Amino acid sequence: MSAPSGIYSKSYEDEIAIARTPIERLALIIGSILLLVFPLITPTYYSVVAIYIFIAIISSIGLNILTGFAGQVSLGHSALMAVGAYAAAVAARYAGLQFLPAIFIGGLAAACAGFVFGAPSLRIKGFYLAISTLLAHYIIFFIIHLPSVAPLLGVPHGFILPDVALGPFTISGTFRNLYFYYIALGLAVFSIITAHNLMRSRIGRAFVAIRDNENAAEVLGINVYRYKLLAFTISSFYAGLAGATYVYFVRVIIPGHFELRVTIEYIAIILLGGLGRIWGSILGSFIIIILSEGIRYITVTYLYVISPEVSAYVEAFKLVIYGAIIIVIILTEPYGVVALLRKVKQYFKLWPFRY
Amino acid sequence: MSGEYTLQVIDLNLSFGGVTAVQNLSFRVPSGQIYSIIGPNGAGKTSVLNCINGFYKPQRGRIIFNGREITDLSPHKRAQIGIARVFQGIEIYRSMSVIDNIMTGRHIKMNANPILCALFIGPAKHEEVRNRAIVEEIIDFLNLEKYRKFPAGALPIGIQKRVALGRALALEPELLLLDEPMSGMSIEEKEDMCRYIIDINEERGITIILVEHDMSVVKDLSHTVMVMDRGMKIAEGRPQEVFKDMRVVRAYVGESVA
Amino acid sequence: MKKVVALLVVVAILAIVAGVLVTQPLTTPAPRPAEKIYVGYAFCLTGPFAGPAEDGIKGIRDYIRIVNERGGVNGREIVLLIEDNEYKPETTIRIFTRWKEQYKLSAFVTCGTHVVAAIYQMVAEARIPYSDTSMAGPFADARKYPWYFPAPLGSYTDHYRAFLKWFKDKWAGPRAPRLAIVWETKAFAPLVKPGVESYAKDLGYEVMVEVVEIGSTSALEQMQRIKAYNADVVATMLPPAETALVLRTAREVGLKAEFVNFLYSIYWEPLVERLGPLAEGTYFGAPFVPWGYDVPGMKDLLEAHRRFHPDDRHTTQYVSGWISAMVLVEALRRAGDDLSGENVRRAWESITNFDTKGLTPPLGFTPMDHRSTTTIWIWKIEGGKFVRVAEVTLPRDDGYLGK
Repeated sequence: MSAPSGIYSKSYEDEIAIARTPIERLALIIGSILLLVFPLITPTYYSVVAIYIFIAIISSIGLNILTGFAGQVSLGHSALMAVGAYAAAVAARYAGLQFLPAIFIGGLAAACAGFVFGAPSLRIKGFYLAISTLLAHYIIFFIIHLPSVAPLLGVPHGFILPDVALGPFTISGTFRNLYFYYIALGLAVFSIITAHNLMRSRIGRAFVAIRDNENAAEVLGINVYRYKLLAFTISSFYAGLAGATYVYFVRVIIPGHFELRVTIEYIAIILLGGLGRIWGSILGSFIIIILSEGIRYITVTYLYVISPEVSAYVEAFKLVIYGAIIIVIILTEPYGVVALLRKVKQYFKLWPFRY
Repeated sequence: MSGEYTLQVIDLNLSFGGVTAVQNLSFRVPSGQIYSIIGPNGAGKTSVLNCINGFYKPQRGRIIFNGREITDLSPHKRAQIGIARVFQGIEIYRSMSVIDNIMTGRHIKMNANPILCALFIGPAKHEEVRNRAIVEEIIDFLNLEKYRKFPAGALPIGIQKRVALGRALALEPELLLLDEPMSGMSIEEKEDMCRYIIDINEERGITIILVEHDMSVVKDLSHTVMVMDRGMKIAEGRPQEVFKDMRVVRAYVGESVA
Repeated sequence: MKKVVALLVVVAILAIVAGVLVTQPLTTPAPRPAEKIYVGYAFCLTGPFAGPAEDGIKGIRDYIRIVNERGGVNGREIVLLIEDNEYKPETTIRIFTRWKEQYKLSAFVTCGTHVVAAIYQMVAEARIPYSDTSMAGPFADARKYPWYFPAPLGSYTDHYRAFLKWFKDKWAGPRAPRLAIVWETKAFAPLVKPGVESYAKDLGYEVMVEVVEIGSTSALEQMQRIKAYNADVVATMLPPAETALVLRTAREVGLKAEFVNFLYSIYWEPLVERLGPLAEGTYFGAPFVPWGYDVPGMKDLLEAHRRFHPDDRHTTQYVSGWISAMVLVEALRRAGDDLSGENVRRAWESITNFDTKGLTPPLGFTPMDHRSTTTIWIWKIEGGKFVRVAEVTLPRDDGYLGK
């Protein structure tokens, strides 16, 4: 809410800077170092899980911009990831583009699709918009499965992507996961920074204005429809970027990667982390991925020893556990983990003086 | 500038289905004045404001702003050419801080594109800082310094109304539409608000259309008062004259008294 | 404040979960005693093929259990690692990277063709022999995918090709036989149809193609067109529900032709049960026997069934799991004391004429060709039972390798 006492800003640039206090700057530096050495000091498995977290961050930032900031509910998120993924794959396979241009094309293609997805938002809101985006989801999957399109996209059995190449370097072999960790980290940081900047600029304020009160936004001269479309477009860019990065990592692209279930998972991420906060996307992705991985790990490591038969059933049961935890958090803190952490921070700011 | 009149409304007719909200209404708002519209509940005052800033499309009639016909313009375009509005209810952005609320008002004065915004470089950053300075001036003007970083939704109603006013001022409008800015306020808050309105009018030279129920406020502030009843203009003139008019009294108090 | 405390508790629980995850493998690294052999199965225990996979994994587990009871392979115990890959590549990647670091894997097995596509490269880089339950052909080419061993159950394409060859050989009609292919475009059929179609044309069939998508509720037009075409053979490449639809409609329009159907994820018994009388007289092609079929090798399976889970109902899936485990154990046996991935692969490729006591034709692999067999049995359904009517040996021609 406000800076700790003793911190003064001498210019407005200072005040809108990302890290303002010495502690924040220190945390930034230590955090960066930790992230950079993490894959070097832990087993590859952890880097792989971290890569999924980074990809989830990129994608959930996209969804958070649309749903959390601009207040437009969308159920088409995973379909937009699919558009990005397939566009990148096609650009790589048929036009021979390298990794970075290909995923960028993926992002742009998804942005275009998102622009079209967003068109109904002129007339409809809330639940109805959700249904229309759901429809868009199915339209995209219908197109992907069209007999004339499917063979080009390797549907349904998978379309193998080329190795990731950056300039003359090809990333493959033993250190593939390690290099990919840094690539995904870089893309996640890029997404976080650009999204944060967007959200603290006039565009982000226009989005929140539309979410909070469309009429009031209109009288401030904000072209509501245009900004809704912009929100869809920007959101979809991140979705496409994430989808493309994801398929480059798993090397194969199948429609099954982007089922409706994935959209629901991302909605869970932003609800859990915190709507309308970039930090919410980061924390939400972290928690959900660790959670799903952790539940499986615990069942197979501990339960399997006791009874292999039972563990197979618990595997299915983990979705229930997963759901229960989300419900508990949302019931106790509707604004997500971010709000929770802020409360904790406030508490310690005042500690030991209770109010 | 088109000289004397900032806004001209000519033969305005607005109805919803069979219900007539505004009927054959014409009036002119002289530049630099505080022009009040009063009338009993349901007289069509807010409908008139909604026509002026474009939420309602009148069935007939023209609205001319600074000599330019704006009848068919969409609300955000009208905001861009200089019509700002403060709503009757408190329609500020509850989750935003006071600063961000008012910064949102600067939207039309800023024009960095999304890519520049995403990178936060060059024009985007300069623009942010430049406009921030203007916002600080408004905060200073409305004495909102100590609430700067509070989420606006958590503030007392009087302060929230001030934030809404600040947000409208950030547009640097030529015409400000105030819809019951005093409702729900304490006497002290009303006095503050009156002072701000007068300052806005006199120091900043902004023409104001005021819809208000508190007659003492109207009497003290207005240059011109128009009285409406059932969608029609029944009187117009200087406050002292208008309040003597029996038709006005009747409209407010009812036939039996007359 | 109460609320904050309650929330802190939630956070603490999460932190503990996360902590356990992070520290567990680091503090207690998995023991790697030299005397054990580690084999990883990332299996689709949840997802669309959970049912078949569950029975399949039972066959694998029972066989390995018996091998271990009899003293293991070359005196070593086999440790089966089994995890649920959710039928998803991304989960399989996570499981594989973790296992690779924790254990010295001698072999890795998954289910799902798309999973193979996603992680083949990764497993190959780790130099670990890799197998999958899928009978789709694309990865069978050992020159392109030297670390991959397809399930020793023949490829779907070969199943159809064997039938077509057998049918053509006994064809005595005055004109060329006519084949109608009925497929869907979204699941397995796209992998099978092109190979079958071109083979049929090579054999001298006249071919027509009809599409019945998954989820269709009518196949009337398609069947009428096939009837008008006077097809002699109809090859369906559809899941159970759509197969039933096609068979029922064919009967309704009075279509007289031989049907050869898809062994959808080799789940024979439930499929035939479901089709009921519709399945009568139709054909399947496969190089293995159904559950309970009277061959010498089946005795061990019935014994395991009686000992380990007498109440369970088994299917061909159990038999196929058992067979693939037999092949894997044979490869490990031949590998001797050197259990490195390279050596296991070499041993696997040295298997020739492996006798499964009638469960399959003799199996064999070479460094150039990882197809276990090209001998396929033709099965006919008579009285709800599977009757073996012929054995067809297809030439091991390169033209159909990987198709």
